Amino acid sequence: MTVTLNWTSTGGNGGGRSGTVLQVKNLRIHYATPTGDVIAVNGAYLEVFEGETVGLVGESGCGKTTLAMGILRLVQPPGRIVHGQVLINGTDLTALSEPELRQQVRWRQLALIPQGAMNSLNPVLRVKDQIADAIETHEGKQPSQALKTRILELLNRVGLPGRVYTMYPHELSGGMKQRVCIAMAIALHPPLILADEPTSALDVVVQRIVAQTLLGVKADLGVSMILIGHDMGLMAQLVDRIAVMYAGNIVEIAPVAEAFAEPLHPYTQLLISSIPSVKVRKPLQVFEGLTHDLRNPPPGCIFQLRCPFVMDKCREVVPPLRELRPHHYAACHLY
Amino acid sequence: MTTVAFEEVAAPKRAARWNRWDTPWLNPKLIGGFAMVMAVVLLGVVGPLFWDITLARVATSPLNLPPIWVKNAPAAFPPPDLAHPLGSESNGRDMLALLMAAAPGSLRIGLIAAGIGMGVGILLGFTAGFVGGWPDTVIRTIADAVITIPSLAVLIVISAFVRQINIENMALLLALFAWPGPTRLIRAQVLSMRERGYVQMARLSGVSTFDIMFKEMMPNLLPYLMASFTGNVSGNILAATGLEALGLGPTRVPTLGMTIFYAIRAAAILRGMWWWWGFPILMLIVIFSGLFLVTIGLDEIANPRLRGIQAQ
Amino acid sequence: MSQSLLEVRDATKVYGGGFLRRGQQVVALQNFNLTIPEKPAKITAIAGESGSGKTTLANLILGFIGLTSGQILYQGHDIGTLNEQQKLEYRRQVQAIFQDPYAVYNPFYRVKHIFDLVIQHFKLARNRAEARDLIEEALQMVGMRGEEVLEKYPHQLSGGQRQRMTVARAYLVKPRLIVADEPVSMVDASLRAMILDIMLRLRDKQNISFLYITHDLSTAYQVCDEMVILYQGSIAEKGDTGKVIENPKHPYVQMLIDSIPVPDPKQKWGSHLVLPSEEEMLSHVNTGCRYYPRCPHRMDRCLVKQPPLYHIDESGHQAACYLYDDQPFSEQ
Repeated sequence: MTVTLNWTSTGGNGGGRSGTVLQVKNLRIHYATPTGDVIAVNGAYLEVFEGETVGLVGESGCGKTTLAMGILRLVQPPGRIVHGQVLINGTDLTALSEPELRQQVRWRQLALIPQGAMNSLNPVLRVKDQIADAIETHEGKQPSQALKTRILELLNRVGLPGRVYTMYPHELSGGMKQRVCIAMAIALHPPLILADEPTSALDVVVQRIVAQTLLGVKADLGVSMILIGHDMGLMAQLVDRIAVMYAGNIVEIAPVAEAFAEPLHPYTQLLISSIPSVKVRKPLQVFEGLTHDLRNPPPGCIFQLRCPFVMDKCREVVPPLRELRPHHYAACHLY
Repeated sequence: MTTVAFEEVAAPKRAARWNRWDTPWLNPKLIGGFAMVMAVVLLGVVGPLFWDITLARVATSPLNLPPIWVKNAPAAFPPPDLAHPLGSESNGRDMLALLMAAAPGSLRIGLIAAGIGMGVGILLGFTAGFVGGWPDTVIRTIADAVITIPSLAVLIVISAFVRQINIENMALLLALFAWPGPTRLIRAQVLSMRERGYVQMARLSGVSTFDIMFKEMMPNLLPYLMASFTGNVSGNILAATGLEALGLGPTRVPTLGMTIFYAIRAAAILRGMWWWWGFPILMLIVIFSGLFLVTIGLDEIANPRLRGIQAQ
Repeated sequence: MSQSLLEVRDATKVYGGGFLRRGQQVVALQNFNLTIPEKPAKITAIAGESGSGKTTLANLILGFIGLTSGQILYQGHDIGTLNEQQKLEYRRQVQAIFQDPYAVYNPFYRVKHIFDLVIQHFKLARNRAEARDLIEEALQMVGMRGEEVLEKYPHQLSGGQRQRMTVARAYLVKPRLIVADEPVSMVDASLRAMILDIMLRLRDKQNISFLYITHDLSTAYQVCDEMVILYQGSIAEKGDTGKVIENPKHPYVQMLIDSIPVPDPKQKWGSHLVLPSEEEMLSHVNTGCRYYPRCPHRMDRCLVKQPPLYHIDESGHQAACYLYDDQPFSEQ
């Protein structure tokens, strides 16, 4: 079976769609276990354009964090990348060596805000030292006055008062720590930021502040972002396009308004209908959980065991990710 | 229309490996270390069936025989004899028989002392950790105080006054200082386990304090306890050997440390009788290394993150 | 007038303080009042952010910690004065579901251990066969079958299955009240409805009341009858769920509801949220209204004394804010 990827129809959803910042082509990541490989990411396809935010949403265990790690080439054993390409501004990351990745790509072209980032701040270093550390590791020693100005400007950009410059992490609240992590991520002006559940541990009001900070950063600097999460409500507020992932497969990619208005893949429909809202009280819809063994996915469509519209074809043939409406891709035999 | 199709990629072959998730007990360090310790135990248990252990008694063998493979022994010594393959020492004891008697002796001291230490440690550690309050303060203060006492010095003084030292009361003496370490370790573990979800669940289910400690917490502590135990055994053997090398050990039954003591006292080093002090030391190395490997093997089992990530 | 099932009177819990650390007191809960009636069975939400005191309240009701002052009465009896026998009976009537579906299982035992514990200690069955029937019935209530799951170890089940089994365990005891501490926050979004649905069924068919403790107002809105919103240890607003969510009166609650992301891309958040300087947020106000530093309507009198709960209307909707001081009030 050959691969046919046609990248010409990229189109726009408003904003600077001039270039493609990231392309993920058919990425496969497996985890080795004594009884066979667990297929964590099964041929993922994704692209991110300049200045846009793409949301990656799915249940826990569906492989979103693994995909992010795969993009950064940070997959730890027993996981390994089996196949696929990751292209940043045209450079194929899978062809680069580890030192090259470290010097040129990570943090300069691609920054990561990992899950629980606020808990991974070094408790014995002041904020200014941690940010300076990130900058100097990649750009060499900087003149101290220029560095200080730069750090203060970064803190201001994420909405933190200058006082934070000399504080220790434990003196800051959760939201403030998270914003320090955002400041570290944008310090080198990377064109792409990967944010893994940036607000999951925060209270609702603080979550809104951090989310608005991310929106502000995007508007000011024009960075592209991949936002990984499971809160559809937050996605609706933050992202331009959304990619839905189920059990290692990307099943739908669409501009966010269309994804919510007309979800094509049955799993997306399920996700959207199970969002509780504070506006409307509706009866709850009950669904079953993940049912197949990740080591042995059933042949054909990955969602067949839970799909309310499953047909015979679904059990045999893997549905390809096709463009069913303008810029709206889904992998389903229904269409 | 843009089509993105999948390429079928053949699934890589399975790797069959030891020391993975399904049988953590097949840890090479654990098995290797255990084999070493078992070898020593077997030497003491099975050895006497094949070799006359009465040769470990004084004046049963020719004096000062070098081991069988020594070619150019100094003239002061008689030529090696096949009947005494590891040689003999100045008191007329055959070395092989001596090792068979002494090694298990040293092991026993360590095991008994560590056993008592762990037993007391479990009792006090659980009480202090789970009950808290003033029992905790009292136990903790006493344990901390005992740790700071220089145990070897005190043991030397005490043993000088004890009339008859044998393996059992030597072990008891050592146990005096063997209990604070396990107590503190267990107390720390219990403190952290006390807040676990399943302990709270057990409290909600009406489980009594005693049952919570020994039926809910203890099973999860077993790997830690075992690792601590083997560490204690080697620590106690070391302390025992230290005392014995000064002559403060059992006199009736041979132990490795006492053998070294006699060797030093008879100037074996100066006389070049390396086999007299060399073989006991070798035995001790085997015992310590074996116990060490068992300890870190158990540590790895208790804490899967230590199992090592082998590069693909 | 029937006795109330659970009554929390003027409960206060203070941490720290004491001989050597006088300056570091944290007031986790302050003069908290709550009444849960015998019937009908109700699901009451205790909502609040981290630091609001909701977990402290759960621990107090479950008897894991003691009160600094005030009383918790179960069917008229003060739970602080119960003897061993009565305490066991109390535990039988008041059960709990916790947040982490994995932590509540002892990894050393198979999952049926949690059922065995309750059957054994509450003496619910006379022999194995009876016990097995009880467990099977409880599992059916949550939509599972014993033969599929009982012999497994915790790590072999999914999070959703484990959480459902926790509910089954709580139900097995046939309690009157279940304290559910964030029961769905660590469960996947698509499975939350299942757990919440079970709670509703238990309320309607088995007459079990719930205390639903959460920070997620959306799920609380779907299942709860009454809502109590805590802010830093005191009640900010309480009342019928619909009224509180649709027509919030306390400034904090208004901001809270406004900040919940609406899952509709066409309705983005309103104006950019501006909060006063972070430092004000971090300091703890010890007298007066806790919300003073962040409140857009703050007045001088708010600093002097904590406002009591004013009645907004006759239905029991109350808010603790001086904005409504023309209404009658009940002391907090």
